[in-house]
Amino acid sequence: MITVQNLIKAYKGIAVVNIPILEIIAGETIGLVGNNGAGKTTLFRLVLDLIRADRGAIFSKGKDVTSTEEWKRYTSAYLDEGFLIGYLTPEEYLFFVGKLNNLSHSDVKERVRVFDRFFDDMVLKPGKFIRDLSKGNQFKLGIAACLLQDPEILILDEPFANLDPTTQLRLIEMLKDWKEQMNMTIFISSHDLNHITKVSSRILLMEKGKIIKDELTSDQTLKDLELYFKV
Amino acid sequence: MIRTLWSHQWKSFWRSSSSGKGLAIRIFVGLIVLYLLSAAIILGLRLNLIIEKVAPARDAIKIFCGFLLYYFAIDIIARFFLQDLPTLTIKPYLIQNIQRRELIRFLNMRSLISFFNLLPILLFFPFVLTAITAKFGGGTALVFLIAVSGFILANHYIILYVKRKMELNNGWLVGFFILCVALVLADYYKIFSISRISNALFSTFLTRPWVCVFPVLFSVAAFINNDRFLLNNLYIEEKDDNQFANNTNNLRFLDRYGIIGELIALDLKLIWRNKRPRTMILYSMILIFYGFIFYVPKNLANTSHWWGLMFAGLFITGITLFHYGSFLFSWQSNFFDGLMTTNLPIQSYLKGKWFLLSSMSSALLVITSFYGLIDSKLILIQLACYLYNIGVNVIVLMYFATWNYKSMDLSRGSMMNYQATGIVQWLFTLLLVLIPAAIYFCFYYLTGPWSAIIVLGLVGLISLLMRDWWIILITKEFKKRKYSILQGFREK
Repeated sequence: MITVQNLIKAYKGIAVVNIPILEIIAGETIGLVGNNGAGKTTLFRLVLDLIRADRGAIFSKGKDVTSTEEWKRYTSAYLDEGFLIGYLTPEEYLFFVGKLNNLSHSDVKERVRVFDRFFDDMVLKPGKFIRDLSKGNQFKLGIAACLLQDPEILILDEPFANLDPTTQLRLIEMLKDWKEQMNMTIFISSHDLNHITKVSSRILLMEKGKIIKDELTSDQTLKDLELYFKV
Repeated sequence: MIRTLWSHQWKSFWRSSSSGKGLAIRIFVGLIVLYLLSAAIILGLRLNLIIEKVAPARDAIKIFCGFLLYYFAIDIIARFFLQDLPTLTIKPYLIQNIQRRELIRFLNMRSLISFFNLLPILLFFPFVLTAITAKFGGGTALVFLIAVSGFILANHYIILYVKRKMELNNGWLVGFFILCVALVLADYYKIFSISRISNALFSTFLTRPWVCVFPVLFSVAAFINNDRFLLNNLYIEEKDDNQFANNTNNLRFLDRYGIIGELIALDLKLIWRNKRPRTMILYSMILIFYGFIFYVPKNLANTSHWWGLMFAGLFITGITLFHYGSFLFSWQSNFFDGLMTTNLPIQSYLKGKWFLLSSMSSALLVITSFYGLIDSKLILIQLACYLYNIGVNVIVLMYFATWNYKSMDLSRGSMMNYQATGIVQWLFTLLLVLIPAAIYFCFYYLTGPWSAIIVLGLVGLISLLMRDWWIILITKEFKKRKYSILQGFREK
């Protein structure tokens, strides 16, 4: 699905991302962990063609992400509130995203019903702008907007960070369901070792831009990670 | 502490992401300013001789006095359009252990560094020091200088106050505009003569020096007013209390137009629901009335003066698009990441922008058709200018917008980032008008006025027909600089 080759991104001579090879197969759920500044968000930005790599390339379904825009059709991402449009109401935003994906208003309304338990009443309240929502609710909306598009690839940056405990657990459930139903490839980063090992089928550990561990999740994985971070 | 603030300002000037291109423009503006100032110095020194040449029989000092108030009236209008508000990204400083008073004092001092404050000093002080000292003595001259300084400062702080108030409440914009128009008309129709008042006023300074206390009090009052206003409004987040949230039913008609309609609706909502673009659009709409200045009988009758009509036509059918278009992508800087990753091909995005800009121009054309009542040929002239605007200027604007890496904060705080509604904006607008002017003059001298206008319209029309090709070109240019744009926009 996604192939990374000889990818290097450097700021002022220091490599913040340095990945010789990485292959992500369709249907995997990849959990990306690492300390602050390890390069997780930068890697996401490179995959989404928001930053120019200094060397190397990223291929989505065999095509270089910098050369075509086709990946936009089947990829959804939510990295931060810079992805939401503050002056729209949540409903308007969902309609907008829906329109870009050829969904009518009624299509959108139906699909959003799935998120009723995920949202509390605060999110879809009429007349409230996205910029007035709390950070956590903004995140919920962002994730919903992603899933609305039925993506084949879903990229989330630290989704558990801003959510309340109930919603965190609900998100884990939802991700598991959606993965099974749609065979989605999911790429998330998190600092919450517990949640990420629960959700992911494969864990990537990044340090100073390099992937130093890449293994399928097992019962041992959580303990290994805790050991790494204890140092 | 003040020194630290100065050093921060200095650093932010050099380290801003768009420093490269912004720097070039600022150097350019700086050179122009330098030129104007040196011209002013020379003018100021020679003022005595100039006045004598212009009006040999009359008293030079009397004429000088008569002129001063005129100068300050024009000064206040010029400041309104061109003076930059001094701003400081206030958030990081508010939390620190700095007194608000200090921040405000800094801002007030910083704002004094302005071309408009330097110019009158250079122009008038030499004259006062020479001619007036000669006739009335050093003491009176000094007092006179104080009075003039009083006026300069008063103008300065009044404009700061008005401009800031204008951000909060558009009523101020309208009110100020009406006031200016009223004054101009009053003087034009001789209801009261500004020069006579000026003469009386400034002569009094000469004969009764103690009267200079008044302009000083005036300037102090303006200062205090500004000061108090800033003190009360130094908050990060003011609820943008606009009830315009739910008027979107009006925009449902755009649903028919697919993605382009959706994008236009998005931009219209942006303009409507955010103080900053709303103010800018309203403020630029005032310039629609420019027509009344240019569409006067003298220009309409005499074909050699038709360039004035063409000029006005371009402005009138294009002003909103000039102002909005120079920040075309910056308005959406807050969510540009999202726009670039969502299921929206860049070419469609840019096409949407094209339609937005041309709709603005079309709306202006329709609105200003009332000028046809003055003279029916104006409709044709405006039509030609409109065609040029949507055919050529929209493309030019979009191209230059791809070089603009400066993010824009739509949320109205009392202090915002560099609000470039100053000189740089106007310079750029000038560029957009110079090229059609060149075309016009070319054909005017070759084949005559009507054909010049027609050619202008034809150029626009041909370019319009090539629209799709232009958009492909702009898409290429955009993609080249996409990463720089994204990076610049991420910097808040």
